[in-house]
Amino acid sequence: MNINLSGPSTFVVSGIILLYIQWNIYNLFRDGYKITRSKQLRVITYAFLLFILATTSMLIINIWAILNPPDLPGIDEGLFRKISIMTYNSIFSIGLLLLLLSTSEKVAIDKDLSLEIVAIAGIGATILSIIAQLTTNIQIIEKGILATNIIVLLESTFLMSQYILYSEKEVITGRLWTLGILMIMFSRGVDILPEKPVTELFLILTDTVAFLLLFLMKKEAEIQVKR
Amino acid sequence: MKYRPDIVIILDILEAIGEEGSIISRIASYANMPIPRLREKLDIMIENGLIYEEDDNGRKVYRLTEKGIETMEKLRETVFMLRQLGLIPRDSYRP
Repeated sequence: MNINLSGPSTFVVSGIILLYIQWNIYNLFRDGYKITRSKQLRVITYAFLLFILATTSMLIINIWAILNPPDLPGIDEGLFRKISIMTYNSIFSIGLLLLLLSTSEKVAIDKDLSLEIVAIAGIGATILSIIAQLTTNIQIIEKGILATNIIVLLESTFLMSQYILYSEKEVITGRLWTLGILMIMFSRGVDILPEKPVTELFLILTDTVAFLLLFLMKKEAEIQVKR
Repeated sequence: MKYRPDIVIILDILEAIGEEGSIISRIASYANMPIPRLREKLDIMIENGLIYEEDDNGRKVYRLTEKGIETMEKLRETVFMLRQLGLIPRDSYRP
């Protein structure tokens, strides 16, 4: 058995950076929710919790791959990478869905629909995650990655249109978020091409940069408030 | 101004009171809210220790507590982020 550890190690480093940023932003919205009990903030808080869960699952699978190199024939580092990406993408897509829902006035005012919708999406994502954990069939996992990539691409496209409708276009930091969403869209768009010109690592690295841009925005918010 | 998320409403009330304190009619006009609805919000904020009432020559003045000032800063940060993320409508807050 020969396992190359550079892939899982890069995943782990990116995962730790992602976790730090996601936890930091989650705390900001959780504090806001504690004060206001706003339904919109509750949904956003759940979305960030799911991002944290997605990253944690990805981290655990890759740490496990480093600590327990598999003995089974035909199982290599690439398989672990694909399993971790499929799990990450499935949970990440529910987080994005919640972020989209948080702008809906139905969620914010009339009725708390978020739990029902996340329950439905959660069942789908859980099935995909379980398939990812149980199977060592690379074709099944690749189809799963393709499906979740398409979902993430569609959600980020909706998020982008929401952003164009709601945001102040002249704000520079807002453009950072636009760039972040564009990077997520680009990485998923490229990964669904039949030629597969990029590896799964590219997805995680672009997500890390997208969240780093979000972190820069949070720093900008802190400076603005202190001014 | 159409739909305003709760977080923006609470921030507007806290900013209307400000560090100087304010009477209910001024808060209502700044926060663009009818007085009965505002009174409900103010009562909840008093219960949560964000503001307190004070008698000032027969007028009831609302003032921010330390916790209220901290909360106002935290909410400004949160609303700033929500604006930048495009998660609250453009016309729901003061620029």
